Amino acid sequence: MIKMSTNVIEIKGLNLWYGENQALHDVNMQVKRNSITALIGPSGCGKSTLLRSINRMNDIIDGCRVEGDIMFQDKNILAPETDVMALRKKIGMIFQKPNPFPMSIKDNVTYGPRLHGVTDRESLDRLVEECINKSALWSEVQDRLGTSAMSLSGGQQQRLCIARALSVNPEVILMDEPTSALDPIATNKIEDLAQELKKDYTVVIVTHNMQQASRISDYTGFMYMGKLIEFDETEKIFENPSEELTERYITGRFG
Amino acid sequence: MVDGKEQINRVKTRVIMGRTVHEDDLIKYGLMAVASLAVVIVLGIIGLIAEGSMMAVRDIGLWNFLNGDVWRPHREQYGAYHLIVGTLLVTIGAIVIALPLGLGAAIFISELAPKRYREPLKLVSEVFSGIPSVVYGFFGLVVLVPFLLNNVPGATAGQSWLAGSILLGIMALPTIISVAEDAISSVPTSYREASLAMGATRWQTTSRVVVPAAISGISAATILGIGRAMGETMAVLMVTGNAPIFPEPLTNLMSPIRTITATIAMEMKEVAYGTTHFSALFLLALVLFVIVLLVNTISRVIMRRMREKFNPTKPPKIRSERFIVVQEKAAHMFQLVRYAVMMGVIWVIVELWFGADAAMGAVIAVIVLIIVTRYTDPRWNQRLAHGILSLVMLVVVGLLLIIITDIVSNGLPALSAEFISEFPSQGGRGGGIYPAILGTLKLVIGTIVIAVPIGVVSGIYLSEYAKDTRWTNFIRGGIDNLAGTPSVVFGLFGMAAFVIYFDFGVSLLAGWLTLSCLILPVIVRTTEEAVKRVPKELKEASLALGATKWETITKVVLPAAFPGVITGTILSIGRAAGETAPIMFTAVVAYQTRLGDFSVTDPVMALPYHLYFLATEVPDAYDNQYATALVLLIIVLSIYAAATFLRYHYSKKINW
Repeated sequence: MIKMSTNVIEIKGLNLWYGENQALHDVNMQVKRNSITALIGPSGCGKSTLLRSINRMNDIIDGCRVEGDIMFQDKNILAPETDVMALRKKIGMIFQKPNPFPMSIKDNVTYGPRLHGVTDRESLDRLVEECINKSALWSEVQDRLGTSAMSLSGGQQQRLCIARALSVNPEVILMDEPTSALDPIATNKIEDLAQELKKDYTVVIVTHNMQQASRISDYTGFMYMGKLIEFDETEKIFENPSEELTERYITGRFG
Repeated sequence: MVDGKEQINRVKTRVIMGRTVHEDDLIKYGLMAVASLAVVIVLGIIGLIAEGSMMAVRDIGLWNFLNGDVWRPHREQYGAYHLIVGTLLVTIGAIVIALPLGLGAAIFISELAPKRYREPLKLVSEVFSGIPSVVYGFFGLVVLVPFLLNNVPGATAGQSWLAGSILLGIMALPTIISVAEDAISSVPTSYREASLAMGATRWQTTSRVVVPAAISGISAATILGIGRAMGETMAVLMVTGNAPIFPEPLTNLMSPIRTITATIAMEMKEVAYGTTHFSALFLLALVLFVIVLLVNTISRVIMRRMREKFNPTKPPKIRSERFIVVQEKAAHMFQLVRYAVMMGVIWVIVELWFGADAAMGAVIAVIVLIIVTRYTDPRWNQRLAHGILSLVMLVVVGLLLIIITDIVSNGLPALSAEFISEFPSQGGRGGGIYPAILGTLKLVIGTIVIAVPIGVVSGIYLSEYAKDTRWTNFIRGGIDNLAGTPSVVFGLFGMAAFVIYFDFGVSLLAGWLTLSCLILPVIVRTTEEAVKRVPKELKEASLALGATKWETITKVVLPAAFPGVITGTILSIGRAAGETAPIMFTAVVAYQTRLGDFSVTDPVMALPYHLYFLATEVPDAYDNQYATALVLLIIVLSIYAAATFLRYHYSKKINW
């Protein structure tokens, strides 16, 4: 039994439409501090959409409309007056395909801090080392920080993206199927890294890989057709789910 | 026995001169023969122009020609220095105007405009590129030139460097907008998402990630725009005043100026064949050809590198540690240098026109702005930047509206059934433009009949049959370069080849052949690209049923590639209908009051040239000038509209 801890994010009655199409139906969920929460479900079930609602990345999609509350630091982040830029600093994101900028490794990590006004070269250098260290990439790149990030392997690129996300000092890190484009060894490294990150941050991860969810997460939500069917501790979801639909999915009978 | 089994088992070989040849190979050789025509044209143009200029090189000397600063053909003085500098000055002015407008509009269309406005805004830029250059020249002459004369203090003539640069700037806009927009919107969305997800504003994302990632495409766009402006003939000819002098002082934007293209266009009609003067004009064309070739090659290399950057095919080079340290230091230095150069440019520009105090003020203002925007709220910066971008877009759309409404509102009252159906009278002041409309139709139809079959066949051969050898790459490069060659060079080529060498005289036939050479490269390239886009799976499916290559091409590939081929073809026809420079020495006369029997060896009247003639030689034919411009605009824009409609229509039907 994991000990009770405070909620970082509380999602209440979330509905979301893409144009006429309702993609999320009345989703309610809490994300606990310093935990890994996994979202699983068949493709198109809305798990990525739910994840992207948490840092308002759905804003950039034309015709997207949201109802409900997502509470973060006692504020409803869906409120129109929310400072979206400040929010995204606090809630970082890792994407499905590694997407480093076509700049040097170092510039990828300093991009965020520079954006938010850090200009002192020494503190930038320190930040680079600290973040790349945290993302378990330092030993591999420390002597080639000036080379293009595009020259890294896929797994290294993804860890660089994690370093980049850490550079603006977030509280929560959203990961949208971060290993689906990687080979098993690189996947392993990312999973270990997620475990490590949970000590300082809160992680929400979308995955289509049920083993991954059961391996690394503390809580798991199962989604189907835009609804959060079941949300509980991971152990419970995988060993003794209360919904029949969940059981059928995790035993591989559909999906 | 299954029905049709006999037909299915038919052997598709024939015996020719004792050898068994497969039908498919016969077709291949046929296609190859047609495609080699394109090769002949590529080599012919370069060869004839070079050959024509040999005499001038011999008589004048290349160095004297390039360095001599007096161009006075009647005294046998052929110094092209002023003309080359004139071309450069007008082009630089054009880019100073076109780059901020074009880049701003491209960023607006790709990053700022709501999705549903994107296509209409791109259409604006396409309409810009569809307006024939003689119509731009006419607009410049009757609207822009008087406007400058009345509004620039101290101006003594409206026909000037500034007028030429403004007009060329507007004409270079569509090139810059469409290529830059392409580059910017092809930056992967994932870069934008990554930046936004770190709390960057949209403007920070645009300015720090998207635009830097697209920078090579944007440079290519700029360079292509420069190439376009350099090669432009009719518009500069009509508004720059054409005095072969330097602006005095060099900052005098209201000075008349003369370009290479305008010199060719003006003097070619009057020069005697076989003289040094005649040859000197060819040498001018050769110089222009080489400059434009260089410019286009640079932009192609840059664009190829850009593609390589996003879709690398080669692993990155492993650099030594030391190299990287140096590289990083260089990058820091480069940033400082970039700022310094920017300040220098601002200083020079402002100082030249407004004095040192103003220059100091401007540089300080820019530095303050750069520093201040570091500390102001990024959202406020975003509002400012987006405001400026919207304003730029508004200016671009406004320019188009001004040109179109001016021509429509002045041309429409003068347009009548008689104007369309009657012969001109009183030297163009009265009557109509029937022979010019008819002449343009004759020119266009003949050009289609000649150029489309050859172009399409060559395009198919290049994409489906030709192997990737050095030779075919050379041909491809040649065709690409021809597509960017200034149209006045084609005019010169047509005159040398068809009017003089083949002795067709100034005639419909010479016009057909010249225009065909002009549009052939465009048709070949669009066909090749459309055919290449047909998915390989479709072709393989057909081949796997035992179809021959030719059957596959005609029954599967061509129907699928048809929309691309047809739109490219129609666009090039629109271009042929609006061009003046290629036909002015090969096919047209200014004035016909009756038409004899149809003959391909007779010259014709044509709308673009008629408009040029009325605008420059018959200044009091105001109504007829506008009405002619309107008719030409309607014809050319409806051809473009047809192409746009077809593309839209097919893009909804075919998806892969």
